[in-house]
Amino acid sequence: MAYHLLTYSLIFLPVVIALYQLCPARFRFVVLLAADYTFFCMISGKLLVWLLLATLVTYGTGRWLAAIPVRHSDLHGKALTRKKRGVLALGIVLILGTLVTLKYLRVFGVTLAAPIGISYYSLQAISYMTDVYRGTQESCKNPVKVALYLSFFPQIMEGPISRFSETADALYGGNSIQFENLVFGYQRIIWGLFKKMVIADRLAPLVVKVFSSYNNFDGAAILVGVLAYTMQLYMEFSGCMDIIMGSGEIFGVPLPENFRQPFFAKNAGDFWRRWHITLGAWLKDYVFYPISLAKPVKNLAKKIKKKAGFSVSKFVAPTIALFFVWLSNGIWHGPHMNYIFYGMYYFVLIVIENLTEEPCRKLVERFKLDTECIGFRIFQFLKLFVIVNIGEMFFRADTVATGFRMLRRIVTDFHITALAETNFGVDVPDLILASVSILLVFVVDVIHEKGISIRRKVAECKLPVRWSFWYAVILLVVVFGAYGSGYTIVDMIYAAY
Amino acid sequence: MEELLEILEGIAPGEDFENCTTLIDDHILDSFAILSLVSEIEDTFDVEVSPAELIPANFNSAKSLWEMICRLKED
Repeated sequence: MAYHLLTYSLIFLPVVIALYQLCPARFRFVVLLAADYTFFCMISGKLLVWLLLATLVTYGTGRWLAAIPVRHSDLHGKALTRKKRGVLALGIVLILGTLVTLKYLRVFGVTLAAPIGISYYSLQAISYMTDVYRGTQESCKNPVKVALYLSFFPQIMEGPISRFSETADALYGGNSIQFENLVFGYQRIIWGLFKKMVIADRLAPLVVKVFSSYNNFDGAAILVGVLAYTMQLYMEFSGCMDIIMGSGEIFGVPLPENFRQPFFAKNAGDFWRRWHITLGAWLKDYVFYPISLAKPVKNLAKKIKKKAGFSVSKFVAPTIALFFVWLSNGIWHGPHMNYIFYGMYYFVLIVIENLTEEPCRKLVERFKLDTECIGFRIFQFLKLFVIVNIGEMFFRADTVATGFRMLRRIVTDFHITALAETNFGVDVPDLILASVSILLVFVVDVIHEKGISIRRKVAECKLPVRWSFWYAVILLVVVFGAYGSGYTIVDMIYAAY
Repeated sequence: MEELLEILEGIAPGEDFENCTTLIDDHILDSFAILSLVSEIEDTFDVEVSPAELIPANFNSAKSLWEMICRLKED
């Protein structure tokens, strides 16, 4: 079972929708939870026990924290605060301990089966427990609500990483399925299937071939492979996210957006506020801020402020915290050096951006540059595109050394004419179709960047136009989707993290 | 309040801090600017800002920032 398989959108999802709607409102949460655990078991079987344990730890920690009274300004109050901190630490250690044991012990040769979505639901569990500790989230008395929050089937495989306050009430509420939500949800699912099946899966054989035997390719062909991988990853991850968001929309569950036209970002920092948004937001709230505001970091910043002034000291806390954010980002993807390198790559780039932001602004003011003109925007886009592609090359390469060898080959052994003789393992019509489809997604992204909702615009059209539009998209997926004979099913990339 | 407005002006010059109520939602203050702001607030008003306070509701306007400072002073 996976979101891009027709068994999901044509069988599993409709059955759950029907059962959910037929059930009395007050029992609908039972249908959702049963669907969650059925979906989970169809992929991970008995490993469901890990999700149940995580639910128990998350709920228990929340209740325990709520049972400790809050008092300030006396010794007893300080002891209670210490106790609360201890309870939170225990909860986090149990959740993270399970994650590390199941996902990272293979570094030491111990391979254990990890359940699907453990990297996602673990972060949700930590966010809930921490928010209860901080007092920004009430401890939930209902264990079923916590179970629903951690296991919602559309988001269990790839996120988005939501917060308890965003989804729990809607999941438990049992609201009726609205016709508009059903239509809009399925429209978004179809768009996601288009990105995944027509573009990402079509590019997959090319990417596998180039990355697995880059030695046999000219630098120009390797560059094509790298560009194809970046597009595959974007179409695949954002496409699956469309399917997920559409599924959530049907049940009236407002899942947080994970993508916002990332290639229109102004720089690497902005890119990460638009790509895998919920992971970035999680790292900001639970790694970046706590480390920045930790006493040792603050004291160091204060010392530097006395010696060198605020203009220098203001970089201290964010830079130290950013290091841990990007280390965590890299490690989160898996126990491989290239993921850590990928994290450090963005750490260095974003620190450089922070340090040069003010001088650049002064330069723009002095030379009266128009940063909104089309020329400057194209320059920004090309710069970011190069940065992102280099990053993804190291992310996809088997090792960091392989990444460097590929980069060297692109720079030193680049012959554009070699492309005509290269066999990428993909037919030319397939490449043309993928390119045209990428262009279509680009146009849609431009429209979305302007704040226009295409679904709403289409919904305002007359019935024949509406149906023609959506039939055309469905036909595109059915006719041009990379499935059936001659194609192998491509697993969801981010479900493996 | 005037001291707070001066701090905000120093961190992001040229913004209408007196009237703006979407400093976070409109990305006028990013996480880097928020940390600079917190550092200045702590030094100027002798308060301690914890990570739990770093939520949009506290940072979206000068008024909400001022309310947070007053609350922290009382604690």
